[in-house]
Amino acid sequence: MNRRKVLGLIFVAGGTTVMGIGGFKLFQLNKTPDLSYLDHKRDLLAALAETIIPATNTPGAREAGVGDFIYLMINDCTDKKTQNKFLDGIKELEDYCSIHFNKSYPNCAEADQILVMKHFQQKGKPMGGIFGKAQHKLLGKSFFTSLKENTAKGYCTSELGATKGLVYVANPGSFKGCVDLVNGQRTWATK
Amino acid sequence: MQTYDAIVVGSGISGGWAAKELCEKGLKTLVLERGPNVEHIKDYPTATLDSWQFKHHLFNTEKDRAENPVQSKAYTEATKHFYVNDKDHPYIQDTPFSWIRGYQVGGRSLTWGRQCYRLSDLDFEANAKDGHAVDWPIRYRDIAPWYSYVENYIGISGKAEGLPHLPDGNFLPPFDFNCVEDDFAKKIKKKYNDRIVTVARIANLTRGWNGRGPCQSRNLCDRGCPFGGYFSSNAATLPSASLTGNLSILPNAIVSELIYDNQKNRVTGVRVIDSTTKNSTEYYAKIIFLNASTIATAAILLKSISKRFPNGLGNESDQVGRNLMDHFTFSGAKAEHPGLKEKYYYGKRPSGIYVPRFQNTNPETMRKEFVRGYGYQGIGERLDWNENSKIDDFGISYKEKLTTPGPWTMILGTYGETLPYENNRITLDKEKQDQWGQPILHISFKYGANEDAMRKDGIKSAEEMLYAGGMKNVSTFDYRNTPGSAVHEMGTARMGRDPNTSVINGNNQLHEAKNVFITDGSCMTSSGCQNPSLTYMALTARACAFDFALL
Repeated sequence: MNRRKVLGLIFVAGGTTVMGIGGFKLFQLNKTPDLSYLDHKRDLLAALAETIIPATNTPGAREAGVGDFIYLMINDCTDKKTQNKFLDGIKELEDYCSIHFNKSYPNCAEADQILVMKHFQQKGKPMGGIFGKAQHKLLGKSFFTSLKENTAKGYCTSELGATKGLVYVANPGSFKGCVDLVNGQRTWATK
Repeated sequence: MQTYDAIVVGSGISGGWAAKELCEKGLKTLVLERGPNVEHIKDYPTATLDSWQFKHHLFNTEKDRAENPVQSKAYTEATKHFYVNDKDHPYIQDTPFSWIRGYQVGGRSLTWGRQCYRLSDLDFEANAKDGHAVDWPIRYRDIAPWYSYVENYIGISGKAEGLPHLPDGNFLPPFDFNCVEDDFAKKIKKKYNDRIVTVARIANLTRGWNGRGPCQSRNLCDRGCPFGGYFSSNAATLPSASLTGNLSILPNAIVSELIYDNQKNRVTGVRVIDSTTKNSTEYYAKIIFLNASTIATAAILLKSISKRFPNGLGNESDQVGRNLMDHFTFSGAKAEHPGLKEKYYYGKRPSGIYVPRFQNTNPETMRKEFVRGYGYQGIGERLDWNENSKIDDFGISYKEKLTTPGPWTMILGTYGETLPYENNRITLDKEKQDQWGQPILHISFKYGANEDAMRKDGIKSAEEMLYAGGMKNVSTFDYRNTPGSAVHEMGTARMGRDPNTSVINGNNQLHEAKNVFITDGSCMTSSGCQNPSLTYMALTARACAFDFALL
């Protein structure tokens, strides 16, 4: 089969995947999300963030206040589709924990939390290439992707994350173009 | 009656210069600014805040994107107050055009990109040589001393390279390359005889200068600098003007029109609307400098209707508002550098690198596909958490990858010259008005075939250069950003010799009302591919040296 034909088939297949979800699902994603559901989930958000960026020899996401940051980002800085996906994801995760572990996520053992997160990571994998892009544009980011990205953003721009997890100098005084990397060098928090 | 020797409309990068030069010449000068006052240091509320001190850690909200669709592309939570609100200041995009604005004392000189490059005769002769638009009435020799004059005051860091088509200026010591940029520059120099990589020439002070700076390498310039580390009207020209005792600044003053006296055959003053009370007042002066910014200056001329000028002041040529230009950007290539894993940098250099134009500069570099040319702005850096965050992982291993310096990368982005096209223009709506009763303006803008051909060449050459520079994983990008995104609007009241085809003469005087001087971006007859602000400043200083007694 020639390359053009293969591409053609992929287009058709990809097209049906995205379009097949179509109608009802798109309507669902465009509805106004009930964000108040998250008002009492700050502990859950902090626990999820901590699984993504755990405390090690440097502070973790919980201590850095990332739970509250995710709450703020989902409320204020996130498009409607991604908000809906995030809410759906949270509810699904709560169900998943109660079915499999009979506990809420924050009360699950760390090893179980990792299993739960793996499940949602797997579920949230975007399709590769242009389909991934189309999927993202049409359907919003997956629950896992927005959870992870907001956790990273929140952590790296928080005081603890920037100054302890990364390196931060508010006023460098001057620029040195070429310096040696020190042992265990972290990235600059800002550029 | 409120009478001054001179009135300057606008307090941005060129208006600030007009204010300084006119005041230092001994003229009682009134500067009119449509936005609120911004006093150096005192009115930089975010200048020393850390990311965690902002509610959303500098990320824009959906509300920003919905209510401020144009300006929010340019601002962050830290700089929003230096940009207008799109709702309050509407305009109509007949075709997509991002008109980025900062209505306050200092204008966009607070938030500009600060890169400073001289034009050369390659630029001043371009229109005459390839037959586009009209010839510039000046040549490099006319402006060269004025480039030096303004550079000596501003303080521009950079490296002399001896290129005839990108003349060297009077530079402060350059910022360092980082190791990848240094390596890349050396390889490019070895491989090509027509192109070089130099560090950006930038109005950031590598040492103390005229009581300002030095730059602290915080790279937070667009919040306003409490160290006076970069040039702005607020930090430099307006304080200098004020020192003379000749300066009056009136903020919240919207100039609705220039007043033409049909008996005296001259412009006698300006009509001003107080943006708060909406009351109208007239101010008079012998000399008017129009520095409202390219699009707004043309709009003021078009609104200034009189018996003598029914189509707008100085618009018998029908050129006012036409020939709008903006550089095209956001296409090029990026790549990874395979080595230098043990190296990093310290501090945040407020700039990157520059690859001066290398096409159509001499008989050896002529291109068939397009006239004029482009340069690259770029930067070498190690990927940080912004990019690392996308790695598909979580937990301890994710944290490790997130916080460890990633591979070195190099990016080259095209800054291309745009030809002056008559139909790229602004016009006034005949019915719709803003809250001050001023006609809302339309912007219509499209790139042409020349820009398209240049863009393709820019992408291809960037890719080639990155390979030649020893990079791997080279990929190209072509975002086709909305015109206006470079924030280099130019050309709507162009210079020329012939009043039938241009708006102002070689001294920046309105052909048809010689006591009106226009020295903002609207005066540009062609766009070059260089960042243009330095040229506006040099032309302003030159125009202010005019012997006003001749008027």
